[in-house]
Order: sequence, then structure tokens, then C-alpha cells
Amino acid sequence: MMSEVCASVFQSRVTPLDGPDKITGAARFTFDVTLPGMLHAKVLRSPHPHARIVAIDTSRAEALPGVVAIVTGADAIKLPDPYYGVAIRDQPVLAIDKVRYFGDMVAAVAAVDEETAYRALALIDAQYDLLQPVATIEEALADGAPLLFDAPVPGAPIKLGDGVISLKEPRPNVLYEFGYAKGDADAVLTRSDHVFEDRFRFSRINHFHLEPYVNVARVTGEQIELWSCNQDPFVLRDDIARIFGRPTNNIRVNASYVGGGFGGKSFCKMEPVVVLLAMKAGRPVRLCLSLDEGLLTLTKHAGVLTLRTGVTKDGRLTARKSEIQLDGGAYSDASALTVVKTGYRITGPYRWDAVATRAYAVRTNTVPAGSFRGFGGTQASFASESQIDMIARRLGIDPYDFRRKNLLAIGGPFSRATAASTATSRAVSMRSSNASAIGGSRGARRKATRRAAWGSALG
Amino acid sequence: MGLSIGIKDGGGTANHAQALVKLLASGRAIVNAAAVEIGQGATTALSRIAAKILRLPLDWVRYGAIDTDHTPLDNGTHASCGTAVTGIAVMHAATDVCRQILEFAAERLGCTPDELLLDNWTIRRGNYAHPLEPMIAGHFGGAGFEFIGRGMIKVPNDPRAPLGAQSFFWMPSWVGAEVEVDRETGNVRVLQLVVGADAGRSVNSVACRGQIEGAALQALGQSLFEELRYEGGEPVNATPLDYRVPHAVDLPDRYEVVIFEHGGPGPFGAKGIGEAGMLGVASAIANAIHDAIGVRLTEIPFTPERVLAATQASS
Repeated sequence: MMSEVCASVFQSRVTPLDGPDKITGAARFTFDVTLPGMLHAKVLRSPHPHARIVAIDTSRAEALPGVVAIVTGADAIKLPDPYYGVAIRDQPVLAIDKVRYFGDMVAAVAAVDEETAYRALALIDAQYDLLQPVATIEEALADGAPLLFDAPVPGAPIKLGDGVISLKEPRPNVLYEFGYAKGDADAVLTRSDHVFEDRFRFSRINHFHLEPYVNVARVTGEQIELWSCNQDPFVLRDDIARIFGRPTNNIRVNASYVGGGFGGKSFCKMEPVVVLLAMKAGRPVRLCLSLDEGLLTLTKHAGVLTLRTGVTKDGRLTARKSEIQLDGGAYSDASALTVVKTGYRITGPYRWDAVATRAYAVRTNTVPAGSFRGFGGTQASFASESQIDMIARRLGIDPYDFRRKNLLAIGGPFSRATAASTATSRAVSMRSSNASAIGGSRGARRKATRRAAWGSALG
Repeated sequence: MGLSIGIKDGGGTANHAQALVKLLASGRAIVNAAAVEIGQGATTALSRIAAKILRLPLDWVRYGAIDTDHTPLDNGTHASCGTAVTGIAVMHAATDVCRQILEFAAERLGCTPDELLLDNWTIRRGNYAHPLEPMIAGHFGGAGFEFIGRGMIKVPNDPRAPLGAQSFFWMPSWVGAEVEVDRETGNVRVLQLVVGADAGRSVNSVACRGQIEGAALQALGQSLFEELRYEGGEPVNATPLDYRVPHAVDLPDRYEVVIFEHGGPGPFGAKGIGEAGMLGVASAIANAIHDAIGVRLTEIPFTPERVLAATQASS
């Protein structure tokens, strides 16, 4: 992997194959898909961050001419498996008993056009019993905080490597916990000349892809077809099969050009609602969300990251203990995976004697958080690289020199080794006698391979 | 001035992908893979990989429509895996179809495949050239034939690694930021932003540059002002009118992207690069603010209010 620097075999500039169609407007996006007899859908969303649903009366909306089908949580609950989410499945196709964030999907209407669907939404009467919301990580973790979920939800913790902690719903309002350790971080910190603890706060942003979320569904007998802006058509296929209890080979997902995703269109979201409406209406249904609704569909994780980092007086990093709390919002989406990756990356590209990391996804009554370009890496980099700089300045060392002194070395014999494990292998190679710079003895290589498992945690 | 290094594991964990390359009797090719074109350039990059192996002009290759009935499986268009992971599957599929064509031609020509070279839809054997189109028509007749190559990749599981697999590649980035801070208003202006990333070996250098530029600008917005804000449980700016994303005027006066090519495990040494530009921007700006006014901001975005509050707290 770390071969000598040479030029790419692809030297010339090329016209992107999709360029001319996109420049002239000829390119077809999912937004452009229309089917014969297609209806248009709109979604009624919760105006409350946290409430119990008392009753939903759709009769006036159903009576509106042009309305073909209306679905609510009462329809969702009858599905073979009405929940989705990556690893931990806590998000209902439509709110079933509670709403858990401002914007939560409560009901959906399919009508002959979007205007009629919007009018019908205004005629749906939803009654709520308001509950105390938890708006922040601190509120969610406080003693006696209101619970988003009263009972454990379906799903399982993510399967990870040996010695890693991976827990589903370990505490009230905590969706997921990830932990790993290498060496005895507490002991190393105690021995360190300096220990610095700093806390960083990361904000919540939206993907703001210009093509809105858009899906068209058609149900023909046993077959379900989707034309979707989703970035992950096969993952979506499997979710639809599970939710609707159909064999996977009866689900067909079509993907066109996607007008920006940045992670916002990863994994299942509103697609099952569109299928449910198409099923009930007996006609194809298109649901195109507004950009406003996009802002209420998914965000990047806000978070609080606390780093305790040890360093010797001459500026060598020794150990880092990290506690990471990411705000997962109301539902799982990809939060568990994001937490794993944030925790994994928090030690940055540096050498450590010991590390210990705990990372959590915390449930709050806010928009669900999930995949976003960087996938936990931006949160980790912000905290880690800010603190590295702070420590250098505190010690009076140039921040550039401080990084250079502590960086993992690059180079080594393992074609597919991680940067961290190649660095480990080099260290091991140099310790063994007569080791060449790139190879080392077979024994050293074996040792290095064994250590690579831990070494890679340093990525 | 502030510096930062971003790093993440790339390509997903223990990821896998499959691909088909269909080569028609005319020599035109269709690449079937499920890396979705989300503006990142998957269409061009994956077609270019196939064209390189098949020794065909790029515009003879088309990236096929994606539907789960026909397109080979892919885990999804995320984790910067399109070029490096799906690209390997496409590379193997193209290599497989190439082998089939050479075997077919060797049989027609009464020789062994290793005497033959495929170039521009012509079989070359020593000084002789044998166009493939008539060779296929002569043998199959009818509607001709399609050679179909298959390729896949599975990044190995490794239970000893914390995530259950070794990282397929590392996605580093390096950021330098120069800022000007108005002590009176607290406003931060990024005068200069330099973002470097490693493409392994770029398959399309213009697209790589675009990926880094776009990601870094997204990160710049989040660093300085972009935020979905809440008051209690209610969002206060969840409309496109109120939600502020970076505009052209927010571009730093000097904005530079540097692409390094240090090699990677993808086709022809490629790596994924799509997320790299996001990683180090916020910390580089925080570090530059500290360098400029001696005040540390530990919460993004670095709004004028926060800069002023931090300045007052430190004085």
C-alpha cells in the first residue's frame, strides 16, 4: 500500500461521462420519475418534541375529493416488522404510540396531486398528551430524565472485534455504548509528567442536499418496486423485504442519479411509508419531501467529547482517555455505527502507550442523527486536533514539531496493513536483530501481525 | 495560522462489492455496479477503470442503470468506498471479461491466449490484427454475443482488530488555515485555507479536487456559522430561508487543494477521498484563532458571539 510515490496511470483530463447530460439538464434524477396513475403523497409531522398520541381522526381528510389513501401508526403496527434502524431498530415506519421529535412522521396522505395531499393534512385531527422533552445530552442523562423508550427495542449490538465493548441500550436514554482499551491508560496517565483534560462541543448540521428526498413506489401483486434517491439500494431492498414480510427477490429498487446525499440518503428512512401508501391505494405513489422536511429528517451528530491526555515533559504523548457522547436524536438510524467510528478514531494518527475510550449515542427529542460525510471522523478530529494544539502551546512546543514528534511512522511490509500496524511492525522489526527496514524476520512479522489487531485501534 | 491533521479509516469495515462488465459484440461495454452516482464521479471513475483494462476509449464504456434485480450487490455508496472497493470489483470483472475474449479469439485463431493482445477491440497477434466484431459475428451469427465478466472484493474479517477487520485504507488530510479575527465584533474571516489529501493514485484528478474542495467548504460552514439550532425541543431555523449554508462569498480569499498520490489498495493504486476534506478544517481554524488572539474556542461554530465571550472570559 505504501509504495513509492509515482504518478497515476490516469494522467489526462476527461469529460465526466455524466457531465454533458447534467449540464444540459437532460439527466434524469429520481425526482423526474413518473408512472401511469401515480399519486402524490405528503406527510403529517409532529408539532411536539415529545408526546403520547391519544387519537388520530382522518375521517375529514378521507372525505376530501382526490384523496385516495391515508396511513397512520395504526397501519404501521400491522406490518410484519414496522421498525428500522442500523443494528438497533427503534424507528417506526410511522409514529405508533408516541412522537419523539418535532417533525416525527405521524400520518401520510396519497392524493391525486400534491396540493390535495397538503389540504388533506390540514384536515387530519391528531390529539396528543404532551410529555416533557429531553433536548440535550445533559438533559437526557440527568437523574429521573423522561425516557424516550419505555422498553428495550428490537435489534442487537454491532458485532465487533475481540475485547471491544459493544452494548445496546446500556442505560436509560443511551442507545448504544462502544469501548475499547489498549494498555493501562490510568496507570500511564498517573506516571505522565502532565495530564490535560479538555472538553469540546460539536454542533448539529444538516446535509442540505439540493435534490430533496424523493421516492416512487409501485406494488404489483407480490412485487414491490421502488425508484429511490437512496444511496444504498441493496440495504434498502433488505429493509423493505423485512418490514413488509416479502421475499427479498420480490423487492426491486431502482437508483438514478442522486442530487447530493452526503450520507443523508444512506439507509432506510421514509421509503416504507411510500410503499405502505402504494399498497393501500393500489396505485403508484410518489413522495417528494420539501427542503424544510429534509432538515427534519436527519442531521450530523452533535456531541460532547472529553479528552484526558498524558504527555512527558519533553513532549511525548503517553496515553489518552476519552469519553464521547454523541447526540443521536430521537431514533437509532446509523448512530451506533457512528459512535463506533468516532471512538475508534479519537486517538488520531499518533503513538500511544495506552488508550481507553468510551463512546455513547444518547437519545434526545431532536431530529435523528446518522451518516454524514466523515461519519464520526469530523467530531473526533475536531476534539483531538484541537487538544493536540492546546497541549503543544501549553508546553511551549511548536504545534507542528509536537505533531511530528508523535506521529505514527509510515512504511512497512504489510500490503494491506493499517498505518498503525505498519508503524507497529516497523517498531518490532527494529527491535529484532538484522531486521530490514521493510521486512524484518518472520518472527517479527508474526509478532507484528498479532499486534496489528491492537495497533489498528490507533487509527 | 493553525494546522490540523485529519484521519479516518476508509472504505467501510470488512466491506464487499460485486460487479459485472458486459462487453458487446461491437466492443462497447456496460459496467454494472451499484455505486450510486451522487455527484462524486462514480460513473466516470468506474468506467475509466474498466476502459483502461479493456484498452477501449472511455466513451465506449457506459455505466449501467442500477436496479437490484440486475445490478450486482454493493453495500452502499458511503465510506468513500466507490473507487477503492467497488472499483476493485469492476477491475476484476474487466480482467475476467478480457480473459474470456482472449480465450475465444485463441480458439478461433488456433493458438494460445498468451500469444494475443486485446487493443481497441482488435486482437493483435504479432504483426497481425484481427478485428473482433467480424470474428464474433462469424462464429455466433444471430444477434452476436455478449461477454460477461464478473468481479468481487471482500475485505477480510479479522476478529483481532477492534472493528472486526483491518482498515482497508487510511484517509489522511492535512489542513492549514490563516484567519483574521476582528476583536471588536468577534468576526472570524478565513484568509487562507489549504487542504491536502491522499488520493492513492487518482483515477480522475479533477473529480478528486472537487471532492476535497466541496468537503472542506462544507466543514468551513460548520466551523464558522452553519448549525441546526434548537430552543428546548423545537428547532428554530429548520427552513432553507433561515438555515445558513456556505455561499460563494464565504470562500477564503485563498483556497488551495493539494492532492498527494502515495498509493493505496484500490485499482491502479487508488484510494477513496470523498470524506477527507471534512476532517481537519474545524480544528485548523480553532488553532488559527488561538494563534491569532490567544483565545481557545472549544465549541463550534466559532460565531462572533462565542469569540467575544471567550475573549472577555480570558481577559
